[in-house]
Amino acid sequence: MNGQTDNSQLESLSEEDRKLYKEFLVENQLFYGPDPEIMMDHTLSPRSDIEEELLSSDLDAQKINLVRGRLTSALEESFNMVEQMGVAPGAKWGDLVTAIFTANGDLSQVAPHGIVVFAAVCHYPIKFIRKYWENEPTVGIKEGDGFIHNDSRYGNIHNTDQSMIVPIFHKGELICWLASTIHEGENGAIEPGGMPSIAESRFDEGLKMCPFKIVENYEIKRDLVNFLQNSVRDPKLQLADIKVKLHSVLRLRDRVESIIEEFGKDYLIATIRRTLEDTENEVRKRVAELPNGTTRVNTWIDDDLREHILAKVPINITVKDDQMTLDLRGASPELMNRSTNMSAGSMKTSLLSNLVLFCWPDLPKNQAVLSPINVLTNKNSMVDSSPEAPNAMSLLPIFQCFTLPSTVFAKLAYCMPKRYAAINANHYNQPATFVYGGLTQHQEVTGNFCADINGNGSGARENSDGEHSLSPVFGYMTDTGEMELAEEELPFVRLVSQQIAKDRVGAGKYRSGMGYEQISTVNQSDEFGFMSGQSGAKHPSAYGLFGGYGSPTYPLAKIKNINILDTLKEDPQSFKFSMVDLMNEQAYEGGEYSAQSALNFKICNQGEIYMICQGAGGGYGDVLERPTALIMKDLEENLMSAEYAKQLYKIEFDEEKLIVDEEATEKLRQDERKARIKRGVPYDEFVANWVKEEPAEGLPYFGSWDDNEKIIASPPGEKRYVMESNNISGVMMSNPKDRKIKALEAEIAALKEKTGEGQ
Amino acid sequence: MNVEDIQFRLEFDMRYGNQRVETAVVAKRARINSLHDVLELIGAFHVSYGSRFGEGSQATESGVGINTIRVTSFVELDKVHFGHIKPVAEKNSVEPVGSRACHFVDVDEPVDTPVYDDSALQAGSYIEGPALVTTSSTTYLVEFGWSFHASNHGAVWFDRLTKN
Repeated sequence: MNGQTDNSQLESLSEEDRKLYKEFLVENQLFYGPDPEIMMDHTLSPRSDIEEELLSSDLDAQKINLVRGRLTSALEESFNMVEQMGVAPGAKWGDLVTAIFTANGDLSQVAPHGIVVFAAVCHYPIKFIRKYWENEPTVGIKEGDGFIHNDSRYGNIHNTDQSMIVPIFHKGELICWLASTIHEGENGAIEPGGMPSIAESRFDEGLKMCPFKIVENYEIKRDLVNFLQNSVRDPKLQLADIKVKLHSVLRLRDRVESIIEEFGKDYLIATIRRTLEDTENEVRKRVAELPNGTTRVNTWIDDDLREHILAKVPINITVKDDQMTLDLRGASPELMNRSTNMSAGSMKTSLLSNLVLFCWPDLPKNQAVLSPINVLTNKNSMVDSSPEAPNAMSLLPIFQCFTLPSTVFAKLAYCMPKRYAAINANHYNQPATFVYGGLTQHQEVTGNFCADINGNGSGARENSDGEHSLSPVFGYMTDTGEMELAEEELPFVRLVSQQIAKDRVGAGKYRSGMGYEQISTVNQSDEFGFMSGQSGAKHPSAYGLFGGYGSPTYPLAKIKNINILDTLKEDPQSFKFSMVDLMNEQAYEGGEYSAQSALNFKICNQGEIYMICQGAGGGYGDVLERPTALIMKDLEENLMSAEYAKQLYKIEFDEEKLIVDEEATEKLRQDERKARIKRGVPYDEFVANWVKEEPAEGLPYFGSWDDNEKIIASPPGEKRYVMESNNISGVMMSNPKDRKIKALEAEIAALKEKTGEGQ
Repeated sequence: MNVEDIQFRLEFDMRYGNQRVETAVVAKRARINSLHDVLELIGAFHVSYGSRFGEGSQATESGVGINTIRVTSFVELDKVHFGHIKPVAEKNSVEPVGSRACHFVDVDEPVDTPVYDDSALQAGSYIEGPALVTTSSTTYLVEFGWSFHASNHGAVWFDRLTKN
């Protein structure tokens, strides 16, 4: 991709020839693709000369602190500007970041709101700009410039996110960068909304903006914006949010200039570098506090949005003194014609996000948190995919990574006298929301997503139950949005907007928080539909901790071929405001009822019903240790049925008065403990009976089994094969429709043979 | 208050596209009768929005919406001028009302620190740190090397003492 060549050939050349060869390649580069040198390096840049000089001098710590405070205020102001002015639904509910970077491009500080996961991924495009455009005579970096970017292969969480990146000069010297990034959504992909589930190549993914200049003299170049507008379904969004991002950054620039005026540019440069180094040192100190050793967990996603698969996403954490290594080797190979791959940069920032939210939440949110930590992957795996592999729905493995480190970190931190956060089980970790698109009631074409993932249930903690519908797994202080505002703009109606679901929790001594369910239909448009990209309909995605249960599985359900809007006019009392009741009773004659995992984009006719549920997190500890008062509280709050409580928690109580018979409960629990012992088998016997040589035949399994050097691929309908972990080739999957046709043809042939026809 | 002092103005809360922020715009006229009046209102919004969020940030092409139409009634009152809050010339000593042992950064042992009350807010009161001034609305901590100097309207000036 980058004009690199085989090292062995280079070594045979003389030093002079080698130099000539390299110069020739640099001068004659065909295409500036994603640069592995940039994209595989998540560490801080070395100090620049000016940083070295300043940080070696006698800096006033109080002034550094004041500059940090000023930057925090300025970043908060610019964040609020974007949230208030933005057009994208993501912007309105906090799916954005504003940030300041060192001149070298390291992200130093983000706004104290919103989405933490941006903290370790927005720096890559700046490093690309510096490496490739700074000395390119037709581009360059000048005061007044602004660069746009979205392609996650050049650094970004995923391709829906668009950035405005602005260099800041002081008397001609480049002193820092400022940027604003929004989850814009629509980007002209094969399905509306920016996260196409059916993308089979990177060319199905819509806009592929490597970093390029779109602003000069602080003015947006309208011809380039017009080209972008021409490439997407929502030209209004494309233009308006470029303005919003630019002007929020310009406000931030004003604040930075006033900081320079008050404290001098040296204090600004020193502060943003010092913040990174202080963070890095603190992380090393905290790692050193942990006991040495390795802990691990294997997780799987159960879907690639075209078919059910079991794709492994494992993690081993090894601590050795002040070194921590996060090892994801053994993960599923990349799938060359499925959208659920992710680049290493996206994966790493998900790991950072978990560490900074669930393990060390008091740390500053910047890229230095991950900088001192080693991350190991197999090349061409689902968690470190090649630039050729589509990654439009990388959110599936990304969301899994959002909960990986803390799951195993808990085992290391459990014995620690001082912890920085309560040990917690997994937050819910799949993007269970509707992506939508089509023609609105205002005759505008649009495509985007609902912010419901911001209402995921949290995991249980070592000392308390989880919170319901708290936040997305990757951020905090976000909002789920005002439904009225969405309905004003879009032709869908929430029949049930945000209802905490019953009996759908990660149980344990402490239970998880629950997500909410929603039931939607379309009104006032015949050309509007939904898509959903999530796994976890067959295999729980959020895992329990220390005996706690994992989250239940969450299928998506729909009722086609009805018009509930007519029913609501004629017989409103008949409508059941519950996904379970609607699906179990199947009361609407002629309705086509179905439940599934992911949903590829499909038109929703007016009055048809689509239902989805935000998931629960994982539970903590043994269900038999759950205090009976907490069980009664859940019953009082209608979060749980009596049947569920009795079956799971072994409790005896008066269902009418909710008074617990403590003595009988204790007996039930003791009996269950004895029953457990009786059911138990010695470890060796268990292993002998339970562990298999390889995954069950017919299981569409991807990833290592018992040996991380061997990577299994089991494409549905094809023979299973094994690859060496250091030589993985992306897996090409067959089309589910072709498999279905093949099966039907075989069925027809068998029937013909049976009836004697065709002989 | 005289009835004739009551004034009225027509206000619109406006926004571009479907953005969250609404910007209040005062209409130049009480009735919208023509396309010209509508464009004049959009123009007033343009100016107001630009002055808040930066010239060029306006997005008329995204559509202009009116969320609220409001008639505001108001009476103009005399302004209060805080004209004399700068440090006053006199420096009057104040008697502490007690003392407390306080811990200061970089001082190993607790320091017996005089405590003052509301009377220290009298214009001209002058106290050198360390000191605590507890008033009905806030508490001032006067660190070592700093002085507390009260001015008018409850203003207080902290100055670093010149090192000898």
